[in-house]
Amino acid sequence: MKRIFILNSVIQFILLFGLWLLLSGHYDPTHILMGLFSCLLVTLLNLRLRKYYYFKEELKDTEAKIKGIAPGRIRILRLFFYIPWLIWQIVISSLQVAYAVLRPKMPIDPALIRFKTKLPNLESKVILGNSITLTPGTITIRIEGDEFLVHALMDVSQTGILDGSLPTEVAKLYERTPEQVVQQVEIIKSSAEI
Amino acid sequence: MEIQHLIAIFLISSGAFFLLIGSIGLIRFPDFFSRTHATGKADTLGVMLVIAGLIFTQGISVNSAKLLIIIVFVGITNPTATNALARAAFNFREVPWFKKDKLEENKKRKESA
Amino acid sequence: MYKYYIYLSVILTVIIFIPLYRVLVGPKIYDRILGAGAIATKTMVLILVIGLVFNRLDMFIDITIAYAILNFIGIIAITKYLDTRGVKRK
Repeated sequence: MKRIFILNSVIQFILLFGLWLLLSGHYDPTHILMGLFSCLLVTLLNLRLRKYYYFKEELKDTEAKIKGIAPGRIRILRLFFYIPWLIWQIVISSLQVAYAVLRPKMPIDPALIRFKTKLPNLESKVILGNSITLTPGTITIRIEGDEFLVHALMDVSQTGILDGSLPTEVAKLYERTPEQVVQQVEIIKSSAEI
Repeated sequence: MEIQHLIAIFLISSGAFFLLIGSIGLIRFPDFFSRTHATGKADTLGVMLVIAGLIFTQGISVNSAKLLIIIVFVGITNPTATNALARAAFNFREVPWFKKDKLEENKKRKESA
Repeated sequence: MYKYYIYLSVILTVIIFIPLYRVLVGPKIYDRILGAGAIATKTMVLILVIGLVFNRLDMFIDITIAYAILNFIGIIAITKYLDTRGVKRK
């Protein structure tokens, strides 16, 4: 417990100091000392905040880390494939929004999609949530436990979720061959069904 | 005019186009959840493209590194803010606009008329 | 080149004024916050382009970073506040 706590604080300090070095642009002793001092101050102020857990999953992840059975570690090499793919998806999705906006008769048919996923930890859910928002036609509304609630703008845009290509892509960041990621898909298309 | 400035002008112009799409979408879409699509996607890409264009004008320097940080920051925070807002709206019982509802409403109006 | 950036900043100003309609009219408070957020996102770009016009990009980048952080934290704070008020849907 204590080891992870200290390790996290040290990592935070190093990241903050790196950001300071990049943003200040002056590399004389006075400025570097000032940076060291302020980064130390911020880390110390944050120590008290770090005692709390704001999500149930965070507590679960930390407990797993203490026991030494951390559920999945991110594969750095896969990120080099994932990020260009995501940027390409962002371009497609923006063009889709442009098509929907610029047609005089707006061709939209919104739907809510509710589905469950099998992802190893909290951080993967954050990545999936943000990726859903950035990929064609879908926006994450709510994440509760394993359940995602997604708003889809057009009929075309549902396919990425329904065939599970996007969640599988995120799961591949952690495992080489993930199992069936998306389960219990439910499509809501009128206000009476919510 | 050098080639990098031409690339920069192309990137910045297309970025401005996507920002315009985001603005128009914010006005034209019928309900809140559709409007989040306009700001969450088109705006993110617009800002990214404009800043990428600015990186081309700067070349390799400290400024470019800072601009890259802004790109990464916007790419992470813009979807997060959109998601937070959508969640608050959904918890506040905001009902999305559905095509089916609209069709039924039109049918009822015809029957009563 | 210089002229292009001047025209661009004028166009961006027009683009920024469009979401103001949503802030003033928007039927619900979320629409207003969304409009305000959109304005802030586009203002970041305008600040950078103005920096290029004045040829002091290094200074304006720092302002932009602070502006981006303020925008994000502002929206998160408002939504946190609203989340405590609404009646939760199941």
